[in-house]
Amino acid sequence: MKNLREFDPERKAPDMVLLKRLFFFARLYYKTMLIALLLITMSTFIDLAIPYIIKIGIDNYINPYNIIEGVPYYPISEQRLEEIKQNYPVLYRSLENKLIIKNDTYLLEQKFILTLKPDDLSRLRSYDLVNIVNISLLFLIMIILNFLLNYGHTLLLNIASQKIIYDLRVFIFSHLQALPFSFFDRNPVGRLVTRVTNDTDAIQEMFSNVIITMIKDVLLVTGIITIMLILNRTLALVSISLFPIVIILTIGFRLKAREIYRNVRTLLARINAYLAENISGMKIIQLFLREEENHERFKNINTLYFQTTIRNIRLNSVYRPAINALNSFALALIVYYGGKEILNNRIEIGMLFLFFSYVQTLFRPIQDIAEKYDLLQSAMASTERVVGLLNEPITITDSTNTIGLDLAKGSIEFKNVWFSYNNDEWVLKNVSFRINPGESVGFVGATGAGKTSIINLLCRFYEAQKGEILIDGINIKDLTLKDLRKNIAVIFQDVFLFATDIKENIRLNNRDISDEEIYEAARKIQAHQFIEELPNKYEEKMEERGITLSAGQRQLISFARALVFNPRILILDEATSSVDSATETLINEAMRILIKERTSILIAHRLSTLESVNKIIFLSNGKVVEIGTHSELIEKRGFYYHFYNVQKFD
Amino acid sequence: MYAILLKFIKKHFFIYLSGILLLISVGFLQLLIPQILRQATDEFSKMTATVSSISNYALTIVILAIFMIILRYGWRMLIWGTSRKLEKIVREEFYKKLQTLDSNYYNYHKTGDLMALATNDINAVRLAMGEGLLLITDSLFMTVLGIYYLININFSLFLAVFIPLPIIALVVLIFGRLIHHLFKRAQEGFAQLTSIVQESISGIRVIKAYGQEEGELENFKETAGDLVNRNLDLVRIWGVFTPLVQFLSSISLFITLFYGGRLVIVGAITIGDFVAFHAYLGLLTWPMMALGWVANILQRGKASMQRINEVFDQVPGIKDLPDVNKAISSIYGQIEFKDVTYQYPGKEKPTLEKLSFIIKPGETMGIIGRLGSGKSTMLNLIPRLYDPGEGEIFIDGHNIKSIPLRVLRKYVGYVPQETFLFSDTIKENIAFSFPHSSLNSIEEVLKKAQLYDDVMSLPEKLETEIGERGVTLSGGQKQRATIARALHINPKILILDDSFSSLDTQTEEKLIKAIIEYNKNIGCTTLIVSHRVSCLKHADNIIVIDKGKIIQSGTHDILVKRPGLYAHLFELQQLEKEDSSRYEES
Repeated sequence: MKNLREFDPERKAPDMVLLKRLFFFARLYYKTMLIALLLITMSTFIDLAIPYIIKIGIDNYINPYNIIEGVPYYPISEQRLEEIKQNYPVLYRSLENKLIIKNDTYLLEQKFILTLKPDDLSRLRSYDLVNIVNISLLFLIMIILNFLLNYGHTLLLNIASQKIIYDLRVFIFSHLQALPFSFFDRNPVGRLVTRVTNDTDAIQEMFSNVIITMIKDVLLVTGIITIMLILNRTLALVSISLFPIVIILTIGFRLKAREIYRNVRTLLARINAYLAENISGMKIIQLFLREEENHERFKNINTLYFQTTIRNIRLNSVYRPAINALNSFALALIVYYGGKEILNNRIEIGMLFLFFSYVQTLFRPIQDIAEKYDLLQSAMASTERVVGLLNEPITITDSTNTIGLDLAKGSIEFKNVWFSYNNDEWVLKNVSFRINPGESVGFVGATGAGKTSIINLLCRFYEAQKGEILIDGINIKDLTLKDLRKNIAVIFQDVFLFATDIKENIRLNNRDISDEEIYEAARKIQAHQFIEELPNKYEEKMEERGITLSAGQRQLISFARALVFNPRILILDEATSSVDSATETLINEAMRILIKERTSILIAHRLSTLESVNKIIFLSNGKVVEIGTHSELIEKRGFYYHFYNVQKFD
Repeated sequence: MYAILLKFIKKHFFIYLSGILLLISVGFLQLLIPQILRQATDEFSKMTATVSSISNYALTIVILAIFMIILRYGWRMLIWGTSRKLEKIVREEFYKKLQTLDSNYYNYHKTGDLMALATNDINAVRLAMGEGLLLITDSLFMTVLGIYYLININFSLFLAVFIPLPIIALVVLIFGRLIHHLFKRAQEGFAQLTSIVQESISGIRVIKAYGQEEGELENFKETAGDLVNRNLDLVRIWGVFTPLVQFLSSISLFITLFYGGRLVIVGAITIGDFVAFHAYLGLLTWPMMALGWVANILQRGKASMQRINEVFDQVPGIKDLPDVNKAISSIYGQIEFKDVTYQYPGKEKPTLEKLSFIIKPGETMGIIGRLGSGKSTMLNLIPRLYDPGEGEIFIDGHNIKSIPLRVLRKYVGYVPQETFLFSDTIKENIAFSFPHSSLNSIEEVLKKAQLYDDVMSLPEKLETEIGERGVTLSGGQKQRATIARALHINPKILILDDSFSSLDTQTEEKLIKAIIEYNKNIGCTTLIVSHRVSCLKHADNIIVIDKGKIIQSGTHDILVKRPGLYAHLFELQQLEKEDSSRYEES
């Protein structure tokens, strides 16, 4: 009967459009994001610079030998030689005859240097010692800076992304609240909850973590490769040669891991669902001697889960050691080719060290990007679903020029109203009737006759296709939704209680309603007594939709809710389910109090209800077929009389 | 639990041991690589290296790497795999244990709490037995061996360089705890947000009808804002953590450069030593972190183990005693209560007080009373969901405790007040006790429960899935399904605990009448609780319970004439009827 179109999560929107919608929410925080990006770029440069500082330390100060014809010599400046000559004559004499001059540089053979005592060495190489302190301090500054930069960008990004997601959540939530009833008929609660919470969480992850890390990883990889190529082409190419293997291996691993991981999650969810159900229903399992059968079933899912996790472990046990091994292979290649370069006097030891360090960091970003890619995908899917929800039109809203209505007198009129839920089958056909202020009217008719639809239209939960609905002579479309609903209170057939206490369930979020008013309303409808008997009285928490209360008690609470809002118009969709007779008497009593001095519409199932109304409107197949008082309609011996008799003798 | 764990470790001792040995071998090989680099660097520095020597070094690294692949694969499979196996066994035993615990246990333990044990706590135990083991081995072995190598190179440099490393372990230890705590807080915040949205959407009709959107939005904003704060609290700490560990390990490198560089220059160590030092430090950061993690993981595992243990240590309240009479293999259905008193743990007053009555096989007893008068508790004593505190219950003259539990329950059909069906097919739910029984038997009880036509009109008929997904049955259909489930076991005692509240009066009366008649024919003792006097009038005997005591008993005809609660309820309900009849006459 109802339109079954759901908002389709699979509906594809181009990525750019999605991103545009997303970045709309990010616009307020783009400065923060930019600063974070800047910090990240700086920290990447530092990451690149740190091994280079060590390289300089090694080649220039720690191991500053010149290789001439395969022999390492220590170069010594003329100035330092002069200083040694003046300050340490003994030392000078011992190295005087070892000095060689080549290309205007004084050289000492490494073999000789290594024979010197530590004291002499520190005298000879005092410049190196000073420089190594300097460069170490530079190193220290860099790592302190890096620490600050890393902390800074993590904090900034998270602050920004948390705020973005907060805004997004509030936006989605208020959009959701404004959507018409027909939307909620089509979409299960669980799915909508996921949109507001989990999907936004995935998007948050993207802002705080994914995008930026990917940028950093790309910067790092390109940075390393560029520097390597500039420094030494042969070694660079050798280092990168394993790169394609890492990429292929990683992609293959990711594809497989994604599949296994999905299975792992599904199975775990199944185990938990089964377990939770079994715990809740343990009494039944024990009473019906189902222990063994269920144990067997639990064992089966559990084993399946175990086997899948083992598959996951095996995959990881191949991939991760393989990546480690590739790292070592790269090291071996550098030792081999780099060693040759050294033998040919094309590079120095520090350079070899630098390549070691770079290669060690080169593979990690690849793994990182692959991991983040999955997150990015799920974030995009979430974005798509969220945008899909935001694109749902708000069909029932205030018109542009509304008429204010603070306190209605309470007359209701339906004028030739036609209504259908799916534009296909008319549920109400040309319905017209008038209810005077203060009158109480009962609607009677078979299931599907259109009784509930009349309520839905009057409250503008749905919109009629044709005809007019007037309150106090004003078309309800010209009223604000707020004014309209302020004047009406609806008591639904199935009582909904929120998971707060009884007091909050009566006043809802309306802070203007005092505790005293709540007590008074409860007293009037005689709910006060049973509430007072609850352990926490009015503060008693309604867990899981108030299952601790009986159906009749829940109904009474919903009555108190309607009474405390003191509406001009009261609508009551009477519950069909039976309540024990003592409560039934209470409810009838309360109903009489509720409808006093207001216009009231009752969808009546109990005959005792119909007794107390001024007028009965009989609906059949979406049409009004009879209007009159109870005795008038009985005398008429028409639809009502017939329907009423059938119900009686069934 | 400890017994399970001990048994498991005993059985898998060699697997664990080989896993640990492989892990140690990996560590050993890993620590050889810096030695190679050390030698190579020294040769390069002195220019004594040759093509053949560097080929040797490169080749050695490759061979080591290949060995390590195999060893790493091995320990991962052994240690991770075994820890998963442990998880599997513990979960299974946990489930088995749950099945032995009685209703009173479940009255005082929430499903959510037990689920937390089955998920979070079992997980923590697995981590302790997998990751924990890995971390202990790594941190101890790698640290000791690493330190040995470092000292071997130069003791004073080792001392200088080692200063920041224990701080890493300390940072991980402290931050690990803090982050764990903050992470939990953030998760709770998220759960709160989820539940508030869930509430809002479920109750959207009420919210709209009463124009309460703004208030709801305010609530939502408050909770969402709280979540933001909790997340940022976490980020503030967690954001320091990684950079701090990185910084501390870099401090070691700084000392290597600063002091180690100096030592090379003054000839105390070689450039090869310097490079090796550097490489060792890179390998030592992880074991230091491991040292910090392991304390947390083991501590959490231990706490979780204790929590799980509380369940395993629970002695089932309801079970066969050693002196159970194994000769009893069936029952006829005579029930006798003799001064039965029952008091729920923690309650001040007994729910049932000195209850006595006898029901002959095949008779029907009606039970009526106000809400909370003890009717359900009394019925629960018959299939031994609870055992009475004082007094005795006899079935066929045997003390109920002397009848094997399985025999007793095999013959007691129970329809609880709250409908509980499993998210499975209708067939599975009806043939709950005998999953492999014939379709005929299922259809037969469906007819008796007057549910047959309803089921046959469903698209998948008996195979229709009920529960979260697919068709949900109406309240009345669900109640009739639970009746069919109880009838399916061919009970000798049938208990109907106000099982018709979702049916209208006429249907309830009709169904009860049919069941009473049928049971009379086959000689099945029946106990019926109902709010409606009219439903009980067919019973052979009726008892009226108030505040845990029988205040009236007799047949309908007798009770109606006596002043008391029964007559009062009868009059009230009669008035309703007459109220309706008036319209008929007008």
